Amino acid sequence: MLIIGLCLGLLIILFLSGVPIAFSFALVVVLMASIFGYDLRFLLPYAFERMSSMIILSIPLFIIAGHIMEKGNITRYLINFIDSLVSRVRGGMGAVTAIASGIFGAISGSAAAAISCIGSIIIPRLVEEEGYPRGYATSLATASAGLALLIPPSFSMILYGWLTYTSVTACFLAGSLPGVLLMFVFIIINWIMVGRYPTIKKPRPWVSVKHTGSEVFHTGWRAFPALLMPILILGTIYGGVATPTEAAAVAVIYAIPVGFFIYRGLTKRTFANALIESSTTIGAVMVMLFFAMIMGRMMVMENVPQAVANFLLSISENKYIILLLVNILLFLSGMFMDDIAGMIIMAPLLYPVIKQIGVSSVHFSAIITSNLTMGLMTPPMAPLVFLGQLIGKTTFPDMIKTSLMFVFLGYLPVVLITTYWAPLSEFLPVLVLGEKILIPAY
Amino acid sequence: MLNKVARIIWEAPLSIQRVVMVVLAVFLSVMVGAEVAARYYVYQPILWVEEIILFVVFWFYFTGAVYATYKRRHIVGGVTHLFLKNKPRALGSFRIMAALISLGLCCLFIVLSYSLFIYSLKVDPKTIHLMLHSSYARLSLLFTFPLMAFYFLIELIGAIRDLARGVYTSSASGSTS
Repeated sequence: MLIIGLCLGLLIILFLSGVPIAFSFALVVVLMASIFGYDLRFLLPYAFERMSSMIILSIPLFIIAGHIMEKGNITRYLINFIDSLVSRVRGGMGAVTAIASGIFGAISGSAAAAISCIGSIIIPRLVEEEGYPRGYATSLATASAGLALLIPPSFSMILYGWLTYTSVTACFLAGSLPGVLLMFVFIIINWIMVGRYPTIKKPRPWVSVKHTGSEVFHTGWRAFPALLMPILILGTIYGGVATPTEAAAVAVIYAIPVGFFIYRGLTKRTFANALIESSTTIGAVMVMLFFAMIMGRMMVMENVPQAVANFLLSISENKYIILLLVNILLFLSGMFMDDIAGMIIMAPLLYPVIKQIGVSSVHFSAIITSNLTMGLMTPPMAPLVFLGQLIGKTTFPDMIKTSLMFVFLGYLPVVLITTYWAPLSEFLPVLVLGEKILIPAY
Repeated sequence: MLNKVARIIWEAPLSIQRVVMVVLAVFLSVMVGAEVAARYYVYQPILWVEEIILFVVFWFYFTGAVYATYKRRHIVGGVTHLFLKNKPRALGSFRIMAALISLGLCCLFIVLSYSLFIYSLKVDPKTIHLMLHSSYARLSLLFTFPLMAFYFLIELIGAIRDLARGVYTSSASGSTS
């Protein structure tokens, strides 16, 4: 076990020193194979076997759909519509940021895509038109981008479902209410924070119901094809019409004419670029998954998940204390790993202990995803903060204080509620799929 | 003339990769979409669709991975730039180390993927409907690792050159899901 611990320590050092995460996994795989005497030629087929999965294909397809919609000008119409709905209340534009990120999350499932798409449009509007301090505006957009990982379809949930043989549809539903709760928490935090910044402009004055109604109708009509996309994706999945992978393919096929002919953001060149960019992202993710699967396999062969379970249960057998320890472990892993690496390592490691304390796999999907999403905001790694900093054209010191405020006042309470109040994540899966969904798959 | 030839040699694999990525991205989406359409409109599921998808999908994944290496878009989580802000030489050393590790591993996996392919040819079964030999999906690795090794070698040379000049350019853009 000491050797495994040292290997995991080396993995974190490699992550932090800037070695591509895929090759950090590969190096640890080679080391572990040579120490424990595994022949890698027989482990490579395992990774192939696991990746020959139609479920995992949904990640590339959602990435493609997200890139096509991004290039197709969807975000502008979406923001205008939400702006017409909430801009007349205090902190309206900040609320637009949270809601738009949530809706965009229901299209793409990627936090990076959400901050790139929403952030690049909304941060200049928040700063230049509304008077928000740049650091705060960037932190708000960055924190809100994390909603994409909780609100379905979510890459993290797909990965979790794939790794633990849990229904991806159930995982999607499990993250919905924590995601919506987090969105409201961000709106409330923003509502309070607006009072602390005198530079922020007062909300637009109320004219009349007719005027507002007309504005909402016009912006809503323009945003309708974009708003139809999450309905199409989630409707086909929950309606039992299509699997998540098929829904993702339908989303790609729908996004192409919408981008070309309705929003007219797509041209032959931008379309090809969207596909090349998405394929590049997919390649980077998949090669990482490939090596991580081999490492995961070796850990299972060395009985590491059971050892972790035994260790945690030796500290306490109380369910709530174990959940607290799990949260601490996930919080620490979030500080040193991004969400994908964290999910691949931590989900199989913690799954046995979760089963033993009687927490359903569906509930755990929401716990681990909310924790790892928070991890995207926690230094030193904080990949989402660094991406947000680039998009918001600000500096790390300028936004870290407010980013941590969103972590401790926004994410942390939602993570704790999600952990200790199971109905928040289990209510929708049980409602849609029935009680049997809470029975573990293995 | 020599310059032109070198440019063609450099650009040709990249153009092929771009074409493969675009074609396979569309192909995969259309095939999965067609499966849904066939099931609901023709009431006739296309049984061989999954076989062909899972056959080509590895070529799609790994072509993207090679292109990500060329574009330096691998997912990285380095924090060295935070602590070594004004130390380009130290940062450059980390960049060289990352490229060297990646290059070495790619070389090792070239050998392993060759053995895997030969082994697969002997033992792997064919798919049920299209009779596709699954080892040809695994052949994708044998194209991936040499090309990745080549781009990491270029990255390594660039990093060493930058270190000699005392400048630092970030080697990769971090990304997350």
